[in-house]
Amino acid sequence: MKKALKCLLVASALAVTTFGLAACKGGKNEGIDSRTDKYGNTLVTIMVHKDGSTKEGKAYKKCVDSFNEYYKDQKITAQITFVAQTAGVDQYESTISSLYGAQDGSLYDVISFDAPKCAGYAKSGILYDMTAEMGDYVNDFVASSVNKYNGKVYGLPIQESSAGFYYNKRVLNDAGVSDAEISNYQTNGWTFDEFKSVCAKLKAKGKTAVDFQLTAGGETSTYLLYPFGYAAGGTYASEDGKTVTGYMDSDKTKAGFQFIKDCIDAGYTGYQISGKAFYTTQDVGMYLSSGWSIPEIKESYSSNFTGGWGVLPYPHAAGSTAASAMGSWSFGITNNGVRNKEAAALLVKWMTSDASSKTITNATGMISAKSTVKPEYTANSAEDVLYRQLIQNGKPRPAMSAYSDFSTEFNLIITALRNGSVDSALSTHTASLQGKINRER
Amino acid sequence: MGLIALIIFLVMAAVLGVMIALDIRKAKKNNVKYHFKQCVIGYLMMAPAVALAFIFVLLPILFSLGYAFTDYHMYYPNDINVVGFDNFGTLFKEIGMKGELYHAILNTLLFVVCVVPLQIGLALVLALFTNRKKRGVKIFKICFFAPVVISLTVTSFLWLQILSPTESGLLNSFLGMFGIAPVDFLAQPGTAMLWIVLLSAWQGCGYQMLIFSSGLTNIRDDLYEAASLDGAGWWQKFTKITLPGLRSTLLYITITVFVGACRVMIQPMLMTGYQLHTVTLSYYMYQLGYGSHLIGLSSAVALLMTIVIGTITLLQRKLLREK
Repeated sequence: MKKALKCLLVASALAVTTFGLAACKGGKNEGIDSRTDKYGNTLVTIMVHKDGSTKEGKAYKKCVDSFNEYYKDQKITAQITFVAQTAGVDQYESTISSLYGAQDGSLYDVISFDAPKCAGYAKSGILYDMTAEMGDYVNDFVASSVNKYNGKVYGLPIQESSAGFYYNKRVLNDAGVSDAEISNYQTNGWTFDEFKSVCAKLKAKGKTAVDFQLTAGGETSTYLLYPFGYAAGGTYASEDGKTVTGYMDSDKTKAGFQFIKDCIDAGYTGYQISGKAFYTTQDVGMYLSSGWSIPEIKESYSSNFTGGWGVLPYPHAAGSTAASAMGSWSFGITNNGVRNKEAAALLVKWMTSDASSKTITNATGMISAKSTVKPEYTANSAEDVLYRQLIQNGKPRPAMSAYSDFSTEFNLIITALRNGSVDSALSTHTASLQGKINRER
Repeated sequence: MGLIALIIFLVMAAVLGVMIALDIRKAKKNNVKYHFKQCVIGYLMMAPAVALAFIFVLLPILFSLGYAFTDYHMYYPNDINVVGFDNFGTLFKEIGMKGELYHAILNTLLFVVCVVPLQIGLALVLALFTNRKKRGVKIFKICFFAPVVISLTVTSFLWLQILSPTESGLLNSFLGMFGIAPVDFLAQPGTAMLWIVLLSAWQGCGYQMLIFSSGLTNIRDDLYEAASLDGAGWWQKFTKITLPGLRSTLLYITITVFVGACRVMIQPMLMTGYQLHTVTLSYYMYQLGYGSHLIGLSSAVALLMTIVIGTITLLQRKLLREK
C-alpha cells in the first residue's frame, strides 16, 4: 500500500507541475477593451516604485488626485498603487512579471520603471509603443531622456538626474585651488589632466583628493562612473545593444577606465574612504555624487561647509566631448491586455506635465526632465552646474536588454581595478558580458 | 492562476479520497471496523497543514524542477519553451570557462569545508563548557545563544562595522594602536571568505550548542564514574563515552549545518555585494534569477545544488549511521 501511495503522490505531483507549466504557457488571455469602476468611470491604474508615505510617494498621489479632479466630467478615474522598490528591485520586477503574464488587465496600465530597463521591457513586450499617442509631446523633454527602443517611444521621464564632483571650497582653497580656477572649470569644463593636477595639490596637503564612491556597489557605482568611458571618447555597446566586444574594451573606453585607475594608483582616491568623510570632515576635497547630495548637505551637513561648497562637472579627455551621468525613472504604458490606451496616455501626459513635474521635483530635489520647465538657478550654483551639464552633455546608460548584466560586470571591473590592470579587467569582463548577452533572447 | 488553484484543489481532493479508500481496504483486510467519520475528521484536521506544505514547499520545488528544463525569462512569462538539458550545458560551459559559477562553486566549497567543522567544534566545546554543574554557567549559555536570535542581516551589519576598512572600524582602530595601517579585510580575495566563515560560525554555533547540551544530558553519569574508577583521563572519557554518546546528535547537526552552509547567501550579499571572491552558489542563483531574469537557468542551478547536497547528505548519513 505504501508503494501505491508513493506512486500516487509522485504522479499527482508530476501532474500538477505539467498542468501548471501548461497553464503558464497556454493561458494567454484575449484581453479586454477597457476597464470601468463600479460607478461606470473608465478606470486607469498606475503603479509607482515608492512607498506612499514618502515625500515622492505623496507627490505622485497629489498628481493622481489632480488628474481625477480634472477628468471627473469625462468619467475617467485613475487609481494609484505603491509597490516600494527594494534594494534589488526584486519585488517590483516580480510584480510586473507575474501580472504581465496574466494578460487580463491585472497589470497596471501605467508603470514607473528605471530608464536603463526600457530596452528589456520594450523588447519583451511589457511596454507599449506609445509613439503615436505621444506625438510631438516628446519634444517637450530633454531629448536624450526620452526612453526609446528601436526609434520608438516607450517611456517618458518623471524627472532627470545628474552627478558631479561636490567640493569643499575651504579645502580646495587651502590646497591652492583658487576661486577663479573653480569658476573656470564650472563654466568651461575641465580635462582629465586638469582634474589630476587639482588632485595632486590636494594630496600634497595631506588630503584625500576625491571620493569616487568606488565601493558604493550596485547601480550607484555604475551610474556615477560610466560617464568616464564616454568622456574619453569611447562607448560600451553597439547601437542595438547586442555587442560589447570591440566597444567596451576599445582603446577609447579603456582610456576612461585608465583615468580612474591612474587616480587610484596615484593615491588620489581609493576603496577605503568612509562614505561620510566628505560630509563630516575637512579631509576629503571632492566627492562624486548625484543631485541627491544637495539636500543632504543643505539640511544635515551645512556646518562642515561654512567656507562654502559647490559642484564641479565631470572631466573629459583632451580632445573628447564631455559626458555626464543622467537617467532616472520614467512612466510607460504596459501591454496588459487592455486594448484602449487612450486613458493611459492621458495619465502619462498628466503625470509628466509641467505642473506634475514641478510637484515631483520639489519633493525629490531632482531636475525636471521637461525642456519647457525653465529653472531659475543662481549661476554656478550646484543646481545650475548639474542642470547645464545634463542639457549640454548628459549621456544615457547603454540601452540593452541585458542591462542588469552590464551593471554587474561594470561593478566587477571597478573591483578588479584595485589589484589588476585595466587591460585584463576589461578583456575578462567584456568577454563575460558578451557571453551573458548571447544567452539572452 | 485560477486554473492552477483548481488543479491543486482537485489533486488534493483526489489524494484524500484515495487515502481514505486505502484505509478502508486495509481495515477490511485486517477485519477491523472502519470508523469513517473519525478518519475523515482526522484527515480534514491534517488538511490545512498538508495544503500549506504543498503550496509553499512542495509546489515551488516542483515548479523549479520543471523550469530547470525551460528557457523561462522573467520578462517573457507567456513564452516558456522546453529546452531539454540546454541550461545544464550552459552551466557546465561556464564552469569550464572559469566564469562566475566556477568562482561560486569554489567559494561555497571553501565556506562549507571551513564552517562545518568550525561551527560544530565550537558548538561542542561550548556545550561541554556550559554543561558543567557550576554556578553562573547558565549566564554563559545565554550569552553564547544570544547571536542565534539576532537576524543574519543585523549580525552582518555588525561585523561590517567591526571589519570596516576605515580607521573608524573596530578592528582597524585596534590595529591602529600598534601602528598598523587600515586593512580592507573583506576586499582581500584570500581572506574575505574566511571572515564570512568566522561570522557564520559565531552566529550559528549557539543553536548547535543547545542541541549538543541536550545530547550530553542523555549520557548516563555512571559511565563517567565507572571510567574514572578505571583511571580514564578526560580525553579518554571524551573519545570513548562522550563522542559515541553524541553520535546521533552529531549526525543531525552535521547534516543541518552542512545543508545550511551550502545555502549561504545573506552574509556575502550584505558584506561585500556581488564579488567574484565571495559569490556563493545561492547568491549566483539569486543573481541569475533576479539580476539577469533567467528563471530557467537559475532553476537549473537550484536543481544541481539539490542533487549534490542530497547526495552528500545521504553519504554523510551512511558514514555516520550508528552500527
